[in-house]
Amino acid sequence: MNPYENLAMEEYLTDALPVNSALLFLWQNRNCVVIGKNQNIYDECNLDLMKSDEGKPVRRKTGGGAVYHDLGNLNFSFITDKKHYSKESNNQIIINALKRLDITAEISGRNDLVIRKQKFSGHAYLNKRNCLHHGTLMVDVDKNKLAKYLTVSKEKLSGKHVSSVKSRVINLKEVNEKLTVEELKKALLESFEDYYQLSVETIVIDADRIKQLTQQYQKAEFIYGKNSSCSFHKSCRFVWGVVKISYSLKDNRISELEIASDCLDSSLPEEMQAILLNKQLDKNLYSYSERTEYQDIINLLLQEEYL
Amino acid sequence: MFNYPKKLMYTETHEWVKKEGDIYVVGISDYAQDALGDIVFVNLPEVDDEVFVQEPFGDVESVKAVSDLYSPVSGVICAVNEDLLDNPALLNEDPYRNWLIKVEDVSDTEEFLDAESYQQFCESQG
Repeated sequence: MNPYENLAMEEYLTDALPVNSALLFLWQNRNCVVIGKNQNIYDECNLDLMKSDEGKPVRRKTGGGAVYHDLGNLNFSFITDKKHYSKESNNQIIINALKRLDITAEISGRNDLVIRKQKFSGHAYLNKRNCLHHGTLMVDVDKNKLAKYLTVSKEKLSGKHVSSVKSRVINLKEVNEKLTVEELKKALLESFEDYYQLSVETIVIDADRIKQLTQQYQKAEFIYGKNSSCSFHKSCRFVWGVVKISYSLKDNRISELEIASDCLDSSLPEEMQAILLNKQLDKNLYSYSERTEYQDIINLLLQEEYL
Repeated sequence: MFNYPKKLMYTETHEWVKKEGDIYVVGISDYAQDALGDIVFVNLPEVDDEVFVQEPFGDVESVKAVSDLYSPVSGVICAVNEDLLDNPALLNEDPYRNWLIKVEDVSDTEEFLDAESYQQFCESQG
């Protein structure tokens, strides 16, 4: 249920898979947004809203767009060697599993599975020595949260990153009311065994290596982007004056800050700079000063609605 | 079909290599860029990083997948094609003009294929 541990396990299995074998790993994450390898998290995820609901920001090592996970979602990872890799077979295994559950799904475009043109499953791929094909299966995902966290104001400037494509989504439960994640898991495993008809082998897990990989996925530098100190520009008219702010974030800390204002107190920008530089951009910022101007500017920094 | 310039050497992981004096220039082949599809992001190492024969030195994200890039030589990076970071699609447009890295102090190389053998190899991949 810990997204960082799950991705660590997935990476470990991708590296450790013996030749001539196929593996299906099924896993779930608690409340989090998972972005693609080369995305800008500030562009894809409303971090503040998500963090206030205890959601976690996560970066995976496959490409593509941002997705929301909660326990209404089941993730699958097909891992095979290069020779036996077939995205089509993997999709067929999923479609067959759903058929057992009275759900008719089809492939759409390159990376989605849909029901009546609405997406319930998004896929991404990694070619290393072995191949990984993983994705989401929405059984009963909180769509309100999904929309809330993945909607980000377009005022933000980010530069060259991979952007997400928005889709209309559907939960499998809307098609088969009685479906549970457990039943879907069972159907997928049966469908997988039917398809490959292979004997089962055991992979011995190196717990230290998993721990190491987990730490790597948890690192702020990895999640927020190593070189991408990111620039934002915001402005707002308050009762006490007009403010224009430019700031940069590095690992979600305010690394640069410029404030221009026509308010009468000319020391305000410098005071704010002294307080805010190198602080994490989150709700704790409110606690450093009670001044109205200060509180207004923190509102501006934190809230998308001001834009 | 695909272009396999005679003057280059190739690997089975679809990189091309050109020797310029003591420096090895590395890129991806026409076959590779076509198999990858539209490339949307390139991650490359930095100058002075070490690379090792048949070990990953970076990766490309295409609309299909993230794929590792394998170094055909062991050595030290002396140049990185930074144009690709701003415009990854250059790899699709002209994979032989748009190299990825240049490597110096080369201590080891893999067994390269010539253009003809590489073409045969690609055609056998279906």
